[in-house]
Amino acid sequence: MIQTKRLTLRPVSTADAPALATAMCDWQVVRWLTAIPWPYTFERSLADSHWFLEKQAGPALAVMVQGQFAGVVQIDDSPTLGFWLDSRFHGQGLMTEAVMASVAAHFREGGATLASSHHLENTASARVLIKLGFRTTGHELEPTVRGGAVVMRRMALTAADWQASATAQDGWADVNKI
Amino acid sequence: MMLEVLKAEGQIPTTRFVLRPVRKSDAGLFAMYAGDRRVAEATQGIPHPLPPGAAEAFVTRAMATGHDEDIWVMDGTPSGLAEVLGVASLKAMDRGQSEVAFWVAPAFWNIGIASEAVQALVAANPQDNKTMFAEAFQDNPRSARVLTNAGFQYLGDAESFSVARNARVQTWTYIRKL
Repeated sequence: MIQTKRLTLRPVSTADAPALATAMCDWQVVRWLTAIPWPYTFERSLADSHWFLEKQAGPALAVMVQGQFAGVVQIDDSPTLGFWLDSRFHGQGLMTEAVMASVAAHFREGGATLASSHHLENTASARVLIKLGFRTTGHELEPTVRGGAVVMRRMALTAADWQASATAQDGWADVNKI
Repeated sequence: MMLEVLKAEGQIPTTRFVLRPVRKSDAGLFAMYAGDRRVAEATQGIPHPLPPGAAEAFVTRAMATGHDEDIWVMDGTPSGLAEVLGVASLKAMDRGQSEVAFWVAPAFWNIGIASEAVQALVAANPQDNKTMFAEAFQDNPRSARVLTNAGFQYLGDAESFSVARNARVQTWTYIRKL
């Protein structure tokens, strides 16, 4: 569990399936995820959500805002950072707060250089990564399950770049691991 | 066949210079040129002032085998120019894609050195790429022109962090199909 000023990050559970399924039917979220089909029915989304939460969730953390499931942030073993936030919670800096807390924990535990990526047009995600000190490592055309390909910008954050940006950040001192 | 020759030799000739692998003796000139604020501020990753040992560390990284990034020195010796005019690199990504980056020492700006280097990389295609990508800072239109001169096409806007400026910088992203 990670507690921040406005958020709680806790491991996802199968009880999150309905909330996850609902979010995966929101095009404002799904448009930036390459692995979610579209159009998508709630029924199919719910089945996929159950499968994901039971088999694939791994280290995924649920981002909880005042008791509501608002999104997911995850750092896997590679280590690669992934994140998304329900569009109802956009525009308040909540994603930055959640990601910053996860990344702080990763490097506090001696974690290796972190990879991440975003759709080239996804300026909100790009802003989150840049605030943390991520740098471009390259671009790739990546196929999506919806057909066609999108341009992904690959980024990386070294421990040194994290230290440099973390000391320059306001508020990250409020982040504490429970 | 051509690819094997290039890999074996490690060199790509251009009209006025040769792209050759990095040597230990390049560190001094790297420190001098990359230590120039104008060069550092045109890149994402070069800090300013350049910390002691940074140029040597770069040389060590460039000379290491088994990495996914090929780095060449623009060496003007063949036509009586300086031994180090600049640096160009290709970072291999998945599925035959790569990221192009380059810098030229300010003493050799405005005479088409970077264009010649990038055009040579595109023509030689030493990693046998299908697609190359590159990013240019929007306040450095000359860098963008180097890319369009080499047949790159504008793909979209983004934002990156420049360590030397300690600030976010608007970028243009370019693609070159091969």
